[in-house]
Amino acid sequence: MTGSAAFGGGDAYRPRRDVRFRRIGEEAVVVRQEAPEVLVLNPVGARVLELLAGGEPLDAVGAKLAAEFEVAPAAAAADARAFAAELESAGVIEPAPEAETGR
Amino acid sequence: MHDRVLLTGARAPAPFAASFLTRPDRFPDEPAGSPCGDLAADLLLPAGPYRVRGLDAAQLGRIARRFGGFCVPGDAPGAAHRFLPLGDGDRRVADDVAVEIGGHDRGGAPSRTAPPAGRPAPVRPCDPEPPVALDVLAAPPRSFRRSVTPGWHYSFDLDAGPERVRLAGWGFCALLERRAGGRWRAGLWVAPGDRRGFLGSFVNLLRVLAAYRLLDAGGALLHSAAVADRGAGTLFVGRSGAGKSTVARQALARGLGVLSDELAALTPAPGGAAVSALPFAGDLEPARRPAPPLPLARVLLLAQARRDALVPVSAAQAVAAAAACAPWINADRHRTGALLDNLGRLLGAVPAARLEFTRDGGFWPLLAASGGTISSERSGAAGALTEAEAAA
Repeated sequence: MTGSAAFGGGDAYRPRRDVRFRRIGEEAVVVRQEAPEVLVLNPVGARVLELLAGGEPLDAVGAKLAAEFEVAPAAAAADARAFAAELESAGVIEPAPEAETGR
Repeated sequence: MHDRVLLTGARAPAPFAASFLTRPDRFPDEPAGSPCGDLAADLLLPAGPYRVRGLDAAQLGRIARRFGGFCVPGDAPGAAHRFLPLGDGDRRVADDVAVEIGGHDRGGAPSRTAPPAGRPAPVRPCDPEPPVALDVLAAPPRSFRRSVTPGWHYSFDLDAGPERVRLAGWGFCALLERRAGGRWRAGLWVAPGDRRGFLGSFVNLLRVLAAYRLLDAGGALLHSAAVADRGAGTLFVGRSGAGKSTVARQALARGLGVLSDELAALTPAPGGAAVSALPFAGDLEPARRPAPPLPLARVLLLAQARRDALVPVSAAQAVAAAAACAPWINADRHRTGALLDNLGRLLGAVPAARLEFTRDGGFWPLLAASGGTISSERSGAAGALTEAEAAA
């Protein structure tokens, strides 16, 4: 899955095994050891990764973004899907096994 | 939604130590070893001291010459404490050693083994136990493969687990074990006749030990040039080839103090962070004596460019650049989170900028004009002097 069209609202993702990240202020620093590289995420990206790492499915991530950043729910959901696709393409996250999500 | 920075961590080829040891699968159970001698010294590194034991006279002499004022031989007048001679009754692995080989970074299955009977180690607790204790052991020369590039001693494999780190290079192997309170116990196995190679092996191990010890002390070892002026330090962070030595030379020419042109120690300090010199250097002479840490005033991320400019960056960008320049720890999946925590605490409140610079030194007035601690004129009032600076 590399495109946002493949992302469904109920999908759950988790950071890949080689990834460590921390919030630094409003942003986040992500270390990918297998790449190897370090990424800096902007506040929205940091929040998306934080929520996904906390086990939130994509639809819940979109809803929280809409509330926290005061944007239209449809736009927030689209942003969440697009950025999740970007994170997966960048090797930061991967689909969470169903056993972890309870699906 | 993101920026990228490449890491500068050591990435060892698999399998561990295959190029360096004749029986890499047996390390650390083998090789056996006994102390090279009964001499000792303290190395006064930040978050130390590092107590080195089991040295013979030639090894101690080489260390003393290499590390200058950082090295306090055990029997020297004025030593802070006495070093105990190694006794036969203590030449076995301590019972409290947790011998778990876990978290192999390259796919090896975790395993547990009993402490190897008969593996000698010069264990005799000193009072107080130093933050780092390093035992030097003589191993049979057949333990090591011959170097295919004679004279080259700076390539090595590193295998990090949750509580143990293994190293192996030309003519040496080493085991680092983390103890309670962030203290480290290490063993360095060398061939007893390898007089020339010993110092390179020792320095290799010491750099890695410093990285791990500083992390546990809440700090970090960073590839950076550290410049002192008016009692404060500025870190110029950058990977190999970024221009650290260029900056350091120009700082010396301007009468500023230089703590480092290659590796500097970042440590917690009241109200923020501090930077200290280490006896490791790039193109310049390494620092020859310890100096008090300086409060960190500013972090500059080196970026060679066609013009000189100072571009403010966020704390996250500073942390990301610093993490990319934290050797070994940034490639250690057991400790990368702690590294980010430390860097976030230490750099979060320090002004940070990307220094886009040409190599002609035109950026120095920019630093002075931006309100930092770097003087616009030759100050002659360096906060910390190295011998390189004194010679200059």
